[in-house]
Amino acid sequence: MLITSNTSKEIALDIKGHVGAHGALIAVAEHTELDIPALVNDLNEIGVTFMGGIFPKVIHNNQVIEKGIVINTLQNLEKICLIKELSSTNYTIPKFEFQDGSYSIITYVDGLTSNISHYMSKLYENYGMQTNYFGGGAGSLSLQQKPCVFTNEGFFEDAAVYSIVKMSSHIGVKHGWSKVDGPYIVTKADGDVIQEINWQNPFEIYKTVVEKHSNKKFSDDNFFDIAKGYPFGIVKNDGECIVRDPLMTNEKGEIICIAELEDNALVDILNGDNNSLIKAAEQAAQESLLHASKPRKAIIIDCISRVLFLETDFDKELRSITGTLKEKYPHISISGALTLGEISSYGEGFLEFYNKTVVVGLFE
Amino acid sequence: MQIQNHILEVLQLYEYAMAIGKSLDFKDNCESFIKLLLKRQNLNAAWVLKEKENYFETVYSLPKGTSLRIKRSETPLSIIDNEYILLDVEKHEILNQLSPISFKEGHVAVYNLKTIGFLFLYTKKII
Repeated sequence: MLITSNTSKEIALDIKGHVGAHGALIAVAEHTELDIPALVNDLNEIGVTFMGGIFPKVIHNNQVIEKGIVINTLQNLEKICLIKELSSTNYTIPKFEFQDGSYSIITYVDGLTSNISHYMSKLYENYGMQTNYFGGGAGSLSLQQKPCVFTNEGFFEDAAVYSIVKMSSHIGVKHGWSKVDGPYIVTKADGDVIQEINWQNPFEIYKTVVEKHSNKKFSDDNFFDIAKGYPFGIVKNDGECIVRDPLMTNEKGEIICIAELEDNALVDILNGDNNSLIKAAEQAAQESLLHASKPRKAIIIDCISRVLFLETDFDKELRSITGTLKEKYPHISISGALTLGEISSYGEGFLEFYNKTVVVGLFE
Repeated sequence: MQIQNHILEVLQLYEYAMAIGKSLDFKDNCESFIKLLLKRQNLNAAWVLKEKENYFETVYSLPKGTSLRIKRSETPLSIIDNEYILLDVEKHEILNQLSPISFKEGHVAVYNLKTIGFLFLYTKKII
């Protein structure tokens, strides 16, 4: 459901009308004129259980929306949890007793905080294979960290929220980037900063490979314009690589990415084109459909940097996903968000935080 | 192509090797190495059983599960007498008793780590 009302009271009532006694999963586009703390109060007053996030943009059917709120019903909601001070890594994941049946965890995390991988690990350590995982990084495209996730407890930055629902889900994950050169060893990294590649200055190596492949020259002010087409891919043995988005360089020639890398990670330098990305998005939708039997809703978590790369062709990417889903399930409800990082696991393996990737979740 | 694959393999081994020994604490070491192994190999679970006074006990497990304490005499020799063995979960029900987590399908690889114990790696995948 898409809400475009303006006052928090009206929005709260619209949400209550849509979800009834169930929980609400709320995605707000960052330019929506909305007082989130007031919405939290209004929803609490009328007894709605909810979790939500602010995202650069939201998705409703085939539309990318800059101002608006997308609501999904959290049926069979068991629990909503808030984890504060993610960057400190000093928190505990609450215990939960899983019963027989299928479970899914939907999580929104402050996409601009540090130690997100630690949060992923802690979730998996505690809940393991008893549930599927799905979610994305919230925050502003300005890349300024500010409060971006909310629950009945309030509006927070440097935090994550998640809901545990007794609902089966089927997830497709793809990115469409392929190797240009590598592997290289990230011989020194500090969080999201690559400090050395192959014991050398990382930008010098990156620049050599990318300039040769792209026939473009890096200048003082065009790093992101070129780098948005040349992400890093953390090499995995089985499955697609995990993409890391290079955002900028610092004065030392270190490369700052939009998520962490470990010391000694093997990385390839990747490239893609509009066709490969759009094809991958379609494959993610197909993958999610493989084992689905009667999905009621689809939630798309697509990286905002794919919009920046594809520009007007992003419309084709979105249509390739919705078209694939609607072809098999014409009445399925489709919504989602354009995020700062995506969360899921490839082939039901270990939980990962991705960049420049599309995740399609079908919920039954 | 074959040379490139060998280089990749060596570099992957380098990454794993560098994840070991970052701490003198046993659990920190497991945390660093096993987490990396699970991520890179797309595995689902890993745990270490250590022998203490004729019992096997879990000393590390990812994801966390129930604590195990199994008599050595009740553990099949086929598992503890080999350097390495790969087992189909569906054909070896005993694996569920040797695991802190429960599973119905997939495969478990067991590595004999001598004095440290046994490392179990689990994948849901049908190999």
